[in-house]
Amino acid sequence: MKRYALYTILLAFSIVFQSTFLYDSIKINGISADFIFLMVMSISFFLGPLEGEIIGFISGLIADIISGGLLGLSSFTYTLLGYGAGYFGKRIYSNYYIISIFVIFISTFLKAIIMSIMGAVFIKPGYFGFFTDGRIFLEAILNSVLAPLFFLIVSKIEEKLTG
Amino acid sequence: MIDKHEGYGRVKLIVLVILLFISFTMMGFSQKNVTLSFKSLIYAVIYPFHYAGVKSITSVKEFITSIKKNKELKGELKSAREMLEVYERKIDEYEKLKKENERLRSLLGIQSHIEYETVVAEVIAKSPQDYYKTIIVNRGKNSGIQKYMPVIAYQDNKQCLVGKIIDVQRYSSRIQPIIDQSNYTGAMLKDSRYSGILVGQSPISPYCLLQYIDKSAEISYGDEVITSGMGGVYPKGILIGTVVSVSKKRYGIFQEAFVKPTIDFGRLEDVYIITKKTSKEEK
Repeated sequence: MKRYALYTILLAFSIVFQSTFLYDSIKINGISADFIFLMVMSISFFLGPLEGEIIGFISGLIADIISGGLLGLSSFTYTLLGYGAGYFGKRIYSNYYIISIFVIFISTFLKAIIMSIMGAVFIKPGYFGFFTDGRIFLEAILNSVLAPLFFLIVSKIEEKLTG
Repeated sequence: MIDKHEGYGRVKLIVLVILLFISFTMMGFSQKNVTLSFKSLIYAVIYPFHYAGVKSITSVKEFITSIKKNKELKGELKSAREMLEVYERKIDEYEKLKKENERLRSLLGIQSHIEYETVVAEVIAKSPQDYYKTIIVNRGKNSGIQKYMPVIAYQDNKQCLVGKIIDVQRYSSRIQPIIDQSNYTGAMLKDSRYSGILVGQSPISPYCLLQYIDKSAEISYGDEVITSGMGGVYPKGILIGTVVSVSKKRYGIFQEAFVKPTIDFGRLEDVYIITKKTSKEEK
């Protein structure tokens, strides 16, 4: 129970932080790391696929509701990626921090691909423009740079909770 | 016989399929009333926590900034007092000119300046996802806010267009700003009076694109763009921004111009929601 309360607080903080204008001030060329995505992925990686998909679904749904965009888009994407991270994480036993860089880098592109497809189906083709303006490359780099920090936080929490 | 491990694996997949199905269905019904009501219901629950969270982070940021700015403010206060005296004299002049202007307008039969009834709202949050540019303010149905009401703001002593209300809750509303790529605004060039449609650009672009401008229009850098009043959402004459570049293709009958909004969305704190035009304008 303590575990879920802690992760709820961390996820809520990520969502709230990204809703403030303070988040805009840490952008590079108008792009910043996606804290919600990083938090979902790191928690899912350590907890497993079932928890990952549920956490991804709830976080994505809340982000969709607050942003007022296409409802279900982030929940769909984060459910899939949360499941994937959980599935992958249960098969890795060492070198979390180095692996996190690759996992997050690839997952950022997967996120953009899933969102682009769903955006094309439900809004219009090229709506999000992840690949046309090349911003996904910078986002992937920023996410990857921060990934070890997020994985470190979650791994420390897990270490403490499991003793 | 299914062992425990296999059973758990099946549960994971079943949950995955169910959650993906729910998300997919929500996307399909995203613009229908059923999900809009669902959104409102969930947001009503999230709102107090979201508001409290955003407020606390913003307060910490403001506190740190205020310490840094204390020294600057003392200097600014001194010059502001001097400026105040200058402005007081100018106000007197302005009042005289305003009266004269009204008198001359009435003589010529021209309608007076547009004035609006507004509700002041504080910006409390923005979209947590970068690909949407929506802004949330702390006024909703309880303050008489309705969907599609225009929103303006004052920055650097200029009145400029922010966007329009697209979603109203009891105590909050969501604004779709002019830089959002789903936003379309009837606009015109202030000097030449050629009109077009202003659209937001990609999520990282700070500019808007003014499309469908007659090719014969002479547009140059720095030309002001204002609302045209067409479309019925925005009143005519509100400043939107200035032209930063023009794209004139060899083919077609239109040209396009990139417009930099006058409003700096990063500094947006208070906005004015136009609830009603004055009786003068309604006439």
